[in-house]
Amino acid sequence: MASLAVPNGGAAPGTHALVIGVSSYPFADGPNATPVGEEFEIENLTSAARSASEIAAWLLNEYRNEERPLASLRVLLSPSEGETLHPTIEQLLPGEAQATRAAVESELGAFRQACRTNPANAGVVYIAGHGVQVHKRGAVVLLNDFGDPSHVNELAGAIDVAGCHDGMDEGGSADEQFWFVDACRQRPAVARRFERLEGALTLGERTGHVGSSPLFLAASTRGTAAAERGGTSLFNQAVLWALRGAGAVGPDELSDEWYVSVTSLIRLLASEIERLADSHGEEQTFDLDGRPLEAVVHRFQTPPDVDVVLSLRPTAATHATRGCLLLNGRDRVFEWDTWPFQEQVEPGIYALEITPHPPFRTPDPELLTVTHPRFAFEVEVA
Amino acid sequence: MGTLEGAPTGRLRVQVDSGSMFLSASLPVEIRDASQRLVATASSSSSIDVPAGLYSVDVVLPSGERAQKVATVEEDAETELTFEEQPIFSAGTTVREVISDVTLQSIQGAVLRSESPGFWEFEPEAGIGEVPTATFSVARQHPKLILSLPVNPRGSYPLNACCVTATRRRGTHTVRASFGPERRVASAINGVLESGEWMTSMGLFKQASDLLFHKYRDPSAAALGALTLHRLHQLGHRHQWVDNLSQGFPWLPDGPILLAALLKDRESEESRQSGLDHLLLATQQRPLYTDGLSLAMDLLRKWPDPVRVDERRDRIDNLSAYTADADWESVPLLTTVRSDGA
Repeated sequence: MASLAVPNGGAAPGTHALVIGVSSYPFADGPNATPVGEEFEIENLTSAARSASEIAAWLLNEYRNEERPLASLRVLLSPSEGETLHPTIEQLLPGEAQATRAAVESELGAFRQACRTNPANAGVVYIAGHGVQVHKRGAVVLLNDFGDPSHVNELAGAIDVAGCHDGMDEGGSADEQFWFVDACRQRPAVARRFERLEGALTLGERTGHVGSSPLFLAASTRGTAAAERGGTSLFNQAVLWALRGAGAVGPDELSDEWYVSVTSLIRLLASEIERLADSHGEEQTFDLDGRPLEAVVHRFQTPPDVDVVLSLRPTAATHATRGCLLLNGRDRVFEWDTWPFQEQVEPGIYALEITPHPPFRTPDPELLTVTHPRFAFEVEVA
Repeated sequence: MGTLEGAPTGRLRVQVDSGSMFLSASLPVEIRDASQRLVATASSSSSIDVPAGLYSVDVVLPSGERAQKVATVEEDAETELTFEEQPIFSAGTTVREVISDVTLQSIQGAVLRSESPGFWEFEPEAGIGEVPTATFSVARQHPKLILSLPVNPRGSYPLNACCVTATRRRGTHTVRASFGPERRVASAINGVLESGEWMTSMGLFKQASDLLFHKYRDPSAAALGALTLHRLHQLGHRHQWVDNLSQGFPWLPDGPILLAALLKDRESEESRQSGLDHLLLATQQRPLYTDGLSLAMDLLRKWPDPVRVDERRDRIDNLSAYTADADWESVPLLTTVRSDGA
């Protein structure tokens, strides 16, 4: 049993979540490795369980959706030796919550049942571990007991994420589901052994469909490299960055509050993952599958601020030049004379007024749309 | 023209100069007020009445890039905002990094129309029987690259051409194919697809796919639109359209793969059987698109009836030669040739 107590447990409709993170592969790496496990040449990961625990903690502490509050949170984590989990989750997690085939099958079944209790429910699934992107539309993630010699099929210790996703895309289930898969991709020679997917955990498909069910799929080329050692994976960082405000969009017909939408996640994740991967010299791909129709993923009580950087050219002009931001072109909200200007600013349209000292001339005011994820602008004075 | 509730006091007109009448009138536009509340969504070349004030206007350009401008709408006046598409990259432009380490080795089913360092333009051969490909080698990189070429055998130059550029991605050299710049609607589908602006551009996808098939007779571009619509579960009632794509262009396996995907969910056993026939036939060939390959693999694995299992396994094994080494970020299928010949 890996169900954590949540403040609005059992809310109907509510949001049900399943979080799985596998860093430890005892049958593939280490003294208990079996010939079957070793054949796949994988090593224990350093951050998949930690990354999953960060998502679980975010769901517990920060997720906001008043129409569908968090109603259940199922967490299965297999950290590797020395891997630190988010403290809240480590404290709440019951003793036995290893992400084995049996445990995942059991929790997945319970999660599916919970989602079926009300079509107005929402579902969140996050799975991280070694995996194989078998094609553009799916991935297999290896579970903690992958390579266990007691398994009849060598892929018994793996989950076919796209198959499970398709099984959950059924009439009567949670109408909005958000799937995140963070898989460390194997080499082509290994990947070929997964092509048929026989034996991996999947769900039978039933009739009907849910409203929206995007599957955000990230795959890195090397097991341990696409994550900061002892930290969290690049995909995890990008997802949480988007959910914590970078992916916020203004109110519209879908929500009268600021919110993170499926579209804003699609827009942001690809570019942010690429940016993070480049900065770490790694290769990381991002793909989208499932039923990516528009939906509210997370809401904000107030508009999240935007990181704004305003700089001035030429450098000689920065001395004693005053800047001023006027919200909606009217309301003076920031004044400064130290450059660059760096502040957290409420999103909106601003007029930027610059008052330089002679011999520099005052430029015409600029109209700036300050929006997420971040805003940078360089002013030039003549 | 749209009218907002309240007292409209000014008019905002949004224009996009894209070089295509269809695109100039069909690109998605979002208008937000000074607090970033959505005021209206519209298509380009439309006008909307709004209270006087400041507005930010976002347009998804044919390249897939999102462009934004601020408009000041004044009482009893029309404010016009014009967005201009950046010129589409083509041979001879100097803004890109020239990658000279990539060389063209061979071509199947197409001919080379023009060439400059790191850039190739292809036209289809007459009477092609399978997806045209080009093979490239990269200096100091062992595997060769095989790229499916999205040419249009129904058109004449330049409406039949596709372009390939050598590029650098994360430290390694590779190639990317695109529709020729004159295939503007096709290029817009590709641009939007690569940018991730899928949902805001759903209407554009639908109209563009229909237009590409019926008016421009560009089956390879239409197949990309249809694959995207299928991926978004928006292919809807285009069964006849997909059937025509499948029957009319036997060299393009992505058509019958799509048709199989539509027939898979039919109640009639006969229809499903027909779908599987199409799928098994199509998967003997190399698909044009990465997404066609993915869809084929998915269908072979999860066909709803437990029939012809050995044939399906055989096709999975065939296609796994592509999937294991596919570049999933490339829209047209890009694979590598390794030492074992796969």
